[in-house]
Amino acid sequence: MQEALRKFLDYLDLLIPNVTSKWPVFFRSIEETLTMVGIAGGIAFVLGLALGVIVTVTKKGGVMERSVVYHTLDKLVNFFRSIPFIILLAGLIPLTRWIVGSAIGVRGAIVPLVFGTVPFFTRQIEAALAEVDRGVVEAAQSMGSGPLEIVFRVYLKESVGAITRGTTITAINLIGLSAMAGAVGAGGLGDFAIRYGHQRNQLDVTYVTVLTLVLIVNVIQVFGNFIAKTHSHQ
Amino acid sequence: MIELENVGKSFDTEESSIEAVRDVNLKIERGEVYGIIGFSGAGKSTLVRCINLLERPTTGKVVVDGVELTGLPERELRRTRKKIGMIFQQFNLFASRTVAQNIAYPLKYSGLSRKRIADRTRELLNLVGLEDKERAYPSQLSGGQKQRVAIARALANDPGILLCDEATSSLDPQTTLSILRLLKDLNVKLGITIVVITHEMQVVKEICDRVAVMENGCIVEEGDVFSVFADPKRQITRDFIDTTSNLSKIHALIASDSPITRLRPGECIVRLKYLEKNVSEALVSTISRQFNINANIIFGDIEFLGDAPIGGLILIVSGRGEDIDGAIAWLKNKNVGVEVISDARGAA
Repeated sequence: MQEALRKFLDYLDLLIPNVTSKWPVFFRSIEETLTMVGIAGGIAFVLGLALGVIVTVTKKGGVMERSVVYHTLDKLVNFFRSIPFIILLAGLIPLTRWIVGSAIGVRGAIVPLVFGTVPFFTRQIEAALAEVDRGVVEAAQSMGSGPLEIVFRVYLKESVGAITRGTTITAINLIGLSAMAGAVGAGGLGDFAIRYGHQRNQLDVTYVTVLTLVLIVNVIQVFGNFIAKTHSHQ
Repeated sequence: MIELENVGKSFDTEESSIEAVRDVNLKIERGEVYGIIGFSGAGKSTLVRCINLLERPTTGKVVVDGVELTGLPERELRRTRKKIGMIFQQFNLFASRTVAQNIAYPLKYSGLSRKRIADRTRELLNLVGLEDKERAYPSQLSGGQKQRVAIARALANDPGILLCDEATSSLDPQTTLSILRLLKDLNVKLGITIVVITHEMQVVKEICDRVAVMENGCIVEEGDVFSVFADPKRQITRDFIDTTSNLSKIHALIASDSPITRLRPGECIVRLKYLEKNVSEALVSTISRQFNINANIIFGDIEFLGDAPIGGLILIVSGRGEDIDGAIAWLKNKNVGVEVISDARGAA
């Protein structure tokens, strides 16, 4: 058994020498990526969910129609969605410094990642909630449900599947964005691949990074599909 | 009792304003089954939503059991809505909840314990005849079963009123009948007032006590079902009657020169319509004997509204001209509507 493992590691040394020579850096990169995606994703999930719900209910014909709130949020979401992430990353430096005290490293990347993700996720939630049939909402109203009850017991409950699908897409998107966060020294897999794979021309580093990302994305997708499926009763 | 006073509802669009309901006055008594019939676009769905204020009327008052709903604050209105059940054409069940959870939905903040809610749910399932579907999801049910679940859910809080918005319009004829029977049953058993919105004459015939005919947002005719349909005043009401009656087919038959409508000299085609509830007299035999004419029944269409027959017969009568006139006069005297559709008496 041990013999086999040794043989395998020797083989890896041959195959991907530049990765085996820096396992600790590689694993730290994975950890950094997961930290960024986890924290920024968690915050973005809560904010995006709230904003998506607010946009949906304040829309014309919504259960809490508020034209001013809707139009303000709608424009704001469009505004932030129009900014390329790499520009957002630089442009938000003062705000990031003010919020988390530092504009670099994993901490510094969280703020721009949240700003880059929330508008997208808000639209995902909006699309998910739009799938809830207007008639079902009307039925809830006819049974005396108020707006808040309708949000939690009808909109959110009825669209768990669709929200999960939107979350999966957003999470995968976020992994992509986090690779760019290397630009502000946040580390992570993207930074790892650029620094070694690109700048030092260690191609095997690039390949291994890509394979790792493929693996992470697949885990998220499979998990997301599973949740969506168990909540679908169509 | 539901009272609508001068209720109007208009929708503002970019360019214009559409009046969906205009100046409707209605009184629906406790315990009756009241039908509102109209073709699509007549404003009936908007009107029924004005009763529980899912649509707030632009003008007029809505009073239910002495409480003016149009004057209630939002919170009170929601509480009142729990006592006004509603079912829909598309059922509108929660797809992510089981049948039992759907029915339990309106009971959540009712103050009942978990156990009581479960009991009540089972009781309601029994009432609509779906005891074995407790754990099923709506997607596993047929249309008729879905509507039964919707009815159970609408009845959860013991409402005094049940509003049905085209509740049978997406069901096949047999299922429609079974749902209508269920509604009538609930009306009798629970004494619940039922307001039925429909474009199907059959629905009104089957269960309604009184009916209002709606056209362009207005109620154009109203009264108990028999008198409205036995003696329609408006063209639209006649159109509805024609949708289920064969009697108007005679015009098509004559137009296509069908052999059964070809008359020999001295004959004429007449249509008899029952305008009163008692048609116990042997009309056809009497005119043949008394006026010495022959009456050949081409076809007839007689249906029962409650226990009163409605409809009529198409006859070809032959005999001497003055005898036929005499027979017609005699029938009119008996309060039977007589209409000579085609006449070949002068053709000899």
